[in-house]
Amino acid sequence: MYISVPCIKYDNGLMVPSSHEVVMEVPLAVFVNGRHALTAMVSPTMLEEFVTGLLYTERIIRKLEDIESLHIEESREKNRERKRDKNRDESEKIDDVSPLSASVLTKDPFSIMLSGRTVLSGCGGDTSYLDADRLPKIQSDLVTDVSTIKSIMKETLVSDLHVRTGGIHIVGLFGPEGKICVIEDIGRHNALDRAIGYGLKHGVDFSRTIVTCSGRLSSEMVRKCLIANIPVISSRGATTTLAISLGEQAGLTIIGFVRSQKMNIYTGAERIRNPE
Amino acid sequence: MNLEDCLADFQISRYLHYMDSAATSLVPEPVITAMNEYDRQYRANVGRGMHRLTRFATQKYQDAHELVSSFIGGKEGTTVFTRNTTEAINMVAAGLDWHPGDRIVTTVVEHHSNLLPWLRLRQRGVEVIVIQPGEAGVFDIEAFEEAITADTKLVAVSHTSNVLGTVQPVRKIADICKAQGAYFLVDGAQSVPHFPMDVQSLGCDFLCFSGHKMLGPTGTGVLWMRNAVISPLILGGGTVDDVTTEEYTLTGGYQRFEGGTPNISGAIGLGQAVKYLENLGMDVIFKHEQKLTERLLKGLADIENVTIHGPQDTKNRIGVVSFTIGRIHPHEIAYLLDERAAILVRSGDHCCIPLMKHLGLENGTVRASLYLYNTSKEVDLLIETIEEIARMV
Repeated sequence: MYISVPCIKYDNGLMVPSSHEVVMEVPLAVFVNGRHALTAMVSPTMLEEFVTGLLYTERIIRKLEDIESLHIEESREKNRERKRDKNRDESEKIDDVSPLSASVLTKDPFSIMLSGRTVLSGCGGDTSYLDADRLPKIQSDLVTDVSTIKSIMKETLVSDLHVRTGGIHIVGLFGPEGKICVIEDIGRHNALDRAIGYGLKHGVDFSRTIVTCSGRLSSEMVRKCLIANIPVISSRGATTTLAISLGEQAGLTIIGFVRSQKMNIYTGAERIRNPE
Repeated sequence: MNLEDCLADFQISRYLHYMDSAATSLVPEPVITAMNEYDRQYRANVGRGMHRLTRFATQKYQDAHELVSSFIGGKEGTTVFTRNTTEAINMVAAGLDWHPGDRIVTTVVEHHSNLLPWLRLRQRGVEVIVIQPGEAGVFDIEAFEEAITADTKLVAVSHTSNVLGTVQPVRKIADICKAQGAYFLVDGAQSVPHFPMDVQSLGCDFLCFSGHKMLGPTGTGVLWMRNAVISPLILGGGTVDDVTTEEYTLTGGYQRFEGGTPNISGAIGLGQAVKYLENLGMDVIFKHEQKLTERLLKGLADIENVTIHGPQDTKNRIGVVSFTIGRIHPHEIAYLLDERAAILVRSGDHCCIPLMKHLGLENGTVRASLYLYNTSKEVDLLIETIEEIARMV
């Protein structure tokens, strides 16, 4: 997830050669039924979960079983270069983050394979606007306590990697039994897709879950929750106007600025009890 | 899906009683569909190129390898696609580094495909020992203990005889090979299609088998290797990482051994065949065949003038049943079974001339070989028709 990189540290008037831990960022080209869907910049971990979650939130698959096969590989050209160049200097380690590719075949491949349209035809793909009417409404009678939100946020933000590098986002997925997974990534959208992918692979009923996040709750984070039918999303950080309007329309609970004694509930407050 | 339901997937079974699956099996509709889909909808070469069809076909082709390797519990090794079992065995014979004085141990029960490639190595000074079976074609393990010496490089044994149906004690042979440091090659042509297979517990170094005997298309076979210790037989497109006019660097994985454009639709069909078998369950298939074999053996035992060659009960055997009727030529019996009852069986030496000589069967045998699509009714019809023919003696 990170490597130690040389740097010059300026501290209290002194410039000192030193090193620091830096998080890894790797391009991952995703191919669906032979076609390039997108290239995501990701942390190189739990890539199957990431791709599974991404395909789900982009609605290329409707359930886990729609994936016929999924391969994660180093890009072919990079692989060849590496084999040729066996005597590389150790100091070139930072270039070692070679591009990766994920190749997915779906159960019903031909509509994507033979279509002239882009693979991702939802938002971010070939449409230039977000059509809220095409997003699902949350179907869940989940109710939770403010104390639960506070404690799961605390559990989410305990991260050695975050302390070391200061360069990652964290997303947690919690269910009735507590923590399902806590995911770290250079991007919070990636982290949420990965958490959803993890949930799909483990048969999680998303209607009973809460997502926690270290960063801003954008409309894109909200959209992913709506598609997965996750009823509550909470963050240590802020939210946006578009996120709130989407959340309101679809019945999602959005909570921002969760701290030890405070939080802002922007939408769906009926799901959050305050026993005190 | 259960076995009765799958009958609808085999058109030939609607009209004829096919009992020649040890030669090649029938192919179910989903396998035909998978192969046609490749040609119709995503035909492209594999392992090279950037366009959508080649990417798609390549992944399907890789997936077929993965399906087959997990079917035999062989994810830890290298699963190479070949044309058939014969090619797989020849690749090992041609690819190991032989020296004069190396020793190979095989048996007289072997199919020619698991004998001739070894016999030819005598030209290179390799010693080839061919051991003889005991009664009913089963070997005493002592025979192997005696034959497999410290200078034995390879032992090649068929898991199941294609003539007698006997299952050989391969697990025990594997232990002897391990103790003596010999490679162990198992010819699984007649075993992989019929009962659950796990190369890890089997303990072999090479497993060779045919896709076309397990519901896959013709022109498909498999060489599984625990370690890819052989040199590739064919070099060329797809087998290298780098080439100059002075040298080349071979690539890894199955690609190293599959030079040139492979049988892509065949591989995809084989992958589908494996899915089909797994869906039914190899245990279920084996039990079904045992039931039919028991019925057939009992029926034949009651007929005067009929001799069964091989084990008389279902212990350590599969549904390959060889028999003769008096002195009637086996080809004549096969012809009569076809003309009178549309029962299709094989006759002759079954590519096992040394075994036929060992058994003193100059004209060979009639062989009925059963599979998942055969029924009790068909077995009864076979017994009745043999009764009629036996009365002619």
